[in-house]
Amino acid sequence: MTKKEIFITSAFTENSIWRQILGICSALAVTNLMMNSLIMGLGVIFSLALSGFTISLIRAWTPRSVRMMVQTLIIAAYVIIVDIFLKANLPAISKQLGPYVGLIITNCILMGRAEAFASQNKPFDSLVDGVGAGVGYTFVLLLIGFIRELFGFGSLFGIRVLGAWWTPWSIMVMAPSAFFILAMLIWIINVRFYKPKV
Amino acid sequence: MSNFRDSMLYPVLFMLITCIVFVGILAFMYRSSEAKIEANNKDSYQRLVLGLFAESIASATETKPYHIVNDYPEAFPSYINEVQLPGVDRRTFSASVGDSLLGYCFDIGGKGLWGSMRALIVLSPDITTLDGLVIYDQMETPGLGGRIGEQWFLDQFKKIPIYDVVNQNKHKLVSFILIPEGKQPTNSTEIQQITGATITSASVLKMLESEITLIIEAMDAQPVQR
Repeated sequence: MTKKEIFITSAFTENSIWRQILGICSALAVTNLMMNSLIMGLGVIFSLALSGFTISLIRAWTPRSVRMMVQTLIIAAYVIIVDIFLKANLPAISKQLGPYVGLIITNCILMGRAEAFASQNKPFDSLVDGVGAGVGYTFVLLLIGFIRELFGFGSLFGIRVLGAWWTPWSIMVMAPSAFFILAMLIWIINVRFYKPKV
Repeated sequence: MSNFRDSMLYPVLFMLITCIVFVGILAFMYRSSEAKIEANNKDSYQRLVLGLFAESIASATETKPYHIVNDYPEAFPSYINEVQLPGVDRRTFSASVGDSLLGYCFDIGGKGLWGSMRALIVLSPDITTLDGLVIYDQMETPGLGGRIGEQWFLDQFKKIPIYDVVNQNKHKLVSFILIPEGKQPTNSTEIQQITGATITSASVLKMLESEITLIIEAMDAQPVQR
């Protein structure tokens, strides 16, 4: 596969959320505001790309019996490196990211891509796969965030777009809305773009 | 070599070496950034303290609040002092312009839904009014309880008499009441809660009530005695 095909496959054709049902916890938790979704998405793209690259780089020497421990260690190390860098050099952004940085370590997509792709493919292909999976994840988060923030707060990225006449739908701010929006999204995309397995 | 890679020792050694390498990288990164991170934290903390007094300093010096905040490196040492009030074991700052005392800022703490939270409150010089609140450390759910850091929520805690003025009881501390987000409060004790984060909103009120009580008891500051 070319780099472009790898990117499109991991971002859309085999999207982590609507095809593999990975990373659902964070997709439910952070999508009531678009800014939160974007910040989480950027953190995941960065960590996915670099951890995939490193795991792939040492895959020939990694014993199978400890590979998942090594993958977790590498993912956690990159997330902490990002955290330290932001705290030291970009404190304002670090403050905004807050608990999201820690949440990235527990995101199933990182382990999923490490195990399914990076541990079996070349470093640069793994880097592209990581960026693609992160972009696909961010796209879904922003889509859900768009619906939830618009109806829940009447705003997008914190900017009010619906006037004072709009009565916010409280349910959109709470976790149950994410459950049914995500479920409908997975259903629509699978029915519209994927043939059922016979 | 092939035999060694099949042995029990190889995975153990590999894991050990990987741990040493990555922990070493992290330790090096942290050590080389530690001073910068501490300076940033101190800077951000002092900015918060100054920000809480910005309006009162601005009105006393006939300038704009944002000038005070923007002029942080000079404004903080000029107007803010760390003080030790008798009996109070909370970190305390006072703000003054010339001889005029503008208020006290206390570093307080409490429990949220998922962990502890730390906040700064400003009380008037006679300890009868809550003049401001900022929550600078919390572990609540992002987008839900985490919204206690939003300005609209914090702005509800400005210029609130801390004694029970509703029932005209000058000996009883105020009891805050939570009302739904978006509903207009009818008096200063009604606080709009955060939708979907009732426990966190209530935790903020509980922290305020218990910490203000502690401070007042420590200072033995009943308004009738003042």
